[in-house]
Amino acid sequence: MENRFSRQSFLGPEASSIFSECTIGIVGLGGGGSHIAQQLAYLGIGRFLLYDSDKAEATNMNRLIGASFEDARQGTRKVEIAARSISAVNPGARVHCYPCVWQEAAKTIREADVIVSCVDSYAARQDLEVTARRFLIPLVDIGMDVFLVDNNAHIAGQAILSVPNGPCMRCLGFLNDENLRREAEEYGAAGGRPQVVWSNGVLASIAVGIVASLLTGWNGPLSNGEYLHFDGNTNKVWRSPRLNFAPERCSHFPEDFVGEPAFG
Amino acid sequence: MNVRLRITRQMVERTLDDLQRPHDFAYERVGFIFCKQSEIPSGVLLLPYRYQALRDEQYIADETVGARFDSSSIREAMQIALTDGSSALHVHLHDHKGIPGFSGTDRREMQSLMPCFVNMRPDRVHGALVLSLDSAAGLVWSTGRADSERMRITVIGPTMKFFG
Repeated sequence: MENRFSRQSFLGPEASSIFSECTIGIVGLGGGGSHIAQQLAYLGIGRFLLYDSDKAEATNMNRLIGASFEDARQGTRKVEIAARSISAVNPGARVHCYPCVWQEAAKTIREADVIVSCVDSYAARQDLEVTARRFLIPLVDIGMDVFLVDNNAHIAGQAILSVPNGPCMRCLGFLNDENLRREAEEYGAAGGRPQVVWSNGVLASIAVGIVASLLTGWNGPLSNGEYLHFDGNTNKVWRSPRLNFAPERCSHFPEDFVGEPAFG
Repeated sequence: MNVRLRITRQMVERTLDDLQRPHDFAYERVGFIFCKQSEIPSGVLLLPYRYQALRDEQYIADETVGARFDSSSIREAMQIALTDGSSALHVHLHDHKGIPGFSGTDRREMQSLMPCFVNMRPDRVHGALVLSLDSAAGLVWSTGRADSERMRITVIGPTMKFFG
């Protein structure tokens, strides 16, 4: 009888054991993270660290994978919904739920071999990348937004791979002081952001593909970082030209920027 | 104790480049990798930030071992570990592909070297790393114990590698 991973054997003879011994941290279990949790369970990831302080509600029900009407009614925690999805696919997976912001369980995230960031602000991305760099953890970030241009809705998103020593999100121009300043000024005024299930799904699938490549190298080594743009109106994905201008080695996080933060 | 080492591909390559340089009389080269130590729920995480090569004149001619080094190299390594509050890993190369192992000589020599670091910074994990051309293995000398434990090694790069 074929085993459950026989159709992905092209990922390499060691892929299944690598996945089963691997720990993936997912920060944000909403529209993007819930897709990613489920897909990584199908891939065979053996251990999950899940971080989200939110509970399911009616407005999530257009995109929260695994959530039921009853979850929205009862306000089930998003980490519990993701854990349920994972266990349904892979009952042997070890799932650790942290129903809080990840900073409140900061030591636990250091265990992750890879962190997947599904947060919804520049500031949150910056915080997560700083920690990922400090503890030498590759970070895969996804995000999407809907913009109004001449009264027409435009869906745009990105998937970024930030590998320690490679270009960071500042090197790639995705994070900058101007973005952070604008976001801080608008804090509290943005309200609920528009989100849709299919663009979350596209970006989540790209992130899972990046994780699979990182862990197995099945498609040859990636470059020392990745930055993909997604146009949700035309369903196109393309590599950011910013990668061509990014330094090979990051100047924002030097080699000795590791370990606990400390003064002096 | 569960000890995990995460090391960037660039540091591995830089270390390999140095260890592969021929020496006038020593059969092999050695060095030290210094790591920041962090707690994780399952044990200890070592995060390398510096590779320290030995200078040519710090090797001592001794045909019974691949490389013997003088006391100044040990003092310098101890000083870095003391000043930075870091963990020290002695590193050398087994010049082949595949999973390397520590030889009897490696273990014997480490038994005399490691207490220097353990006595100086008993709050840090110290140990030894042996690289091959495409793999690695590590041993840890725990505080107050002469025996050793394995470490799990992850090489961080566009393709990650897991050893141990």
